[in-house]
Amino acid sequence: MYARSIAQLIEELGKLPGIGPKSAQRLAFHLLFQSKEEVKALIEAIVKAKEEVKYCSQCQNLTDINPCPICSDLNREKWLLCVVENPQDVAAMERIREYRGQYHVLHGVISPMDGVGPEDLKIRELLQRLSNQDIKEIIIATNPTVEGEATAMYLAKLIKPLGIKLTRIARGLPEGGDIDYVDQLTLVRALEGRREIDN
Amino acid sequence: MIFLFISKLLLSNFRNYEKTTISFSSNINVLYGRNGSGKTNVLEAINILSRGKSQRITKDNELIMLDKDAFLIKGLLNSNGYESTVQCSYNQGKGKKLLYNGQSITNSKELFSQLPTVSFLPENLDLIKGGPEQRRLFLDDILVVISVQYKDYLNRYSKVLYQRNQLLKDIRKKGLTKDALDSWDNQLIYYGDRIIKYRYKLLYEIRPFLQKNYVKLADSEETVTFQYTNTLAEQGEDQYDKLLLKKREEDIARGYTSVGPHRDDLLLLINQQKARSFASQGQQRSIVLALKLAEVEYLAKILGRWPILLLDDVMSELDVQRRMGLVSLAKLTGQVFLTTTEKDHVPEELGSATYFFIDNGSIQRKD
Repeated sequence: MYARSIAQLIEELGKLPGIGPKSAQRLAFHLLFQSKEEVKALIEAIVKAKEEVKYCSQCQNLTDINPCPICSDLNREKWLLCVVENPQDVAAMERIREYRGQYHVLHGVISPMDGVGPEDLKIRELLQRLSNQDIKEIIIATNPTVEGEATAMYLAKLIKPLGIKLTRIARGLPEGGDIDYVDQLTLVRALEGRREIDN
Repeated sequence: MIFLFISKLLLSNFRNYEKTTISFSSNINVLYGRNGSGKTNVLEAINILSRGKSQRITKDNELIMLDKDAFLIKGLLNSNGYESTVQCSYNQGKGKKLLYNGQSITNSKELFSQLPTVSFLPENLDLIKGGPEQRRLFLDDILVVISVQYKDYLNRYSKVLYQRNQLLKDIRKKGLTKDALDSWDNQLIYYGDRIIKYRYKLLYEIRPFLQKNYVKLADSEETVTFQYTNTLAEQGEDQYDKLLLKKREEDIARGYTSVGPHRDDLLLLINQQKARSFASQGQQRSIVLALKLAEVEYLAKILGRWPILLLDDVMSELDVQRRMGLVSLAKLTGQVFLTTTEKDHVPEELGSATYFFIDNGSIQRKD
């Protein structure tokens, strides 16, 4: 149906996540009608990112400078560490501009059915950091899925004996979400995660 | 108690109905006609309005009439005189849409609490003889429609269980460390424990209804009750975590979690003996009918309105006495829909039934 090189381009693009055959076709034709310079710029960006982006030796986030800007920022708290699943979570935390501590990116969660065990995550690197640096509190911010919870529990078991304060992010009602507007599932989970009011 | 009934149903390009509007009676509606004429499709349509999806099939596009690209089901409801509409439409390109009084609904549980239904299918009659998963499903189906919390526990429990079973196999095959189970066991216990408590509570509440209905159906004084077979308690260990630990080696060898609510059962008893082995076929059917009617009464108590009872081709499986018993008990609840191939399977002395003759996608009301 298509010339061989076009078909091949469509096939390669179709391997990307979230790209179906239709989208792959649209992207392929978009690229074909772009100028040579534009296409070259895209290729270079991909190659450059692939070559230069590495894991930060500290937090394991993806970075092109090692250590990454967050780890080398002297104004951030050194004693506070937030453990997240992936780089997107770091970006989300940074957007709120409230958290001023360090991060550690696991790059996934424990999930036997996907063949992911603790050894596939950046947990060894985390323990090494804990023995080298003076961390006083760890916030575990994995997602509230059963896999995220299992990972949190696994980490808790490793970290508790080290005598470091360990916390888990809360789950429940979204800010600005009136009780009569949030969906039932959010509400039952908020009820489940209720806490005592202390004054 | 709100008296609820479907006064009108419109079907468009749904299964074998091209365009049909039917007015129903608030009491018993008997749909009769040959096999394959479309009787069950009417019950299915009502079920979809209640649950947002079909219980017979999983793909919505299979519900569309051949060569068409969309279907519409619309029901006019009457609750103590107040009218409201529910609507389910499906379009091959745009997907499914549920509306209550013209307002879009995303949570199908909201539909159910407006229009609760209880279905009774011929295969339900095997509830006692069949496998334990059918009996667990009987409990779970009731609990998920009345409790979002239970549904969430159940979903999470099955995810944890699935992961844990995979891990058990990995430990056996790849020699992974057994400690890895700890982080899953914790959650398994948390959700499993809550699931069991919900089931016990449900059983406690429906127990009196069961006995009362059985006596009326079977016209005899046997005591009918049930016992929840809790795999945790059965093992003589009342502590979930200790038992999981005790069973760990065995579970690893089998690659499967051997205790917990997913292995529990509901044991039906007649005069304190197992109905499975000691009740006659007829008694077993009476027990199942009594149990289903107990479900109806329990939902009515919780939801404040009688669920609509959908009896699909059940009459032919029952003897005359049980037909009488079922219809006279059903009459005491809310609106009833009943399909049958033989019109005279429905006891006539009951009077109040309205008959509909169904023939290949057309419905005729016989007044």
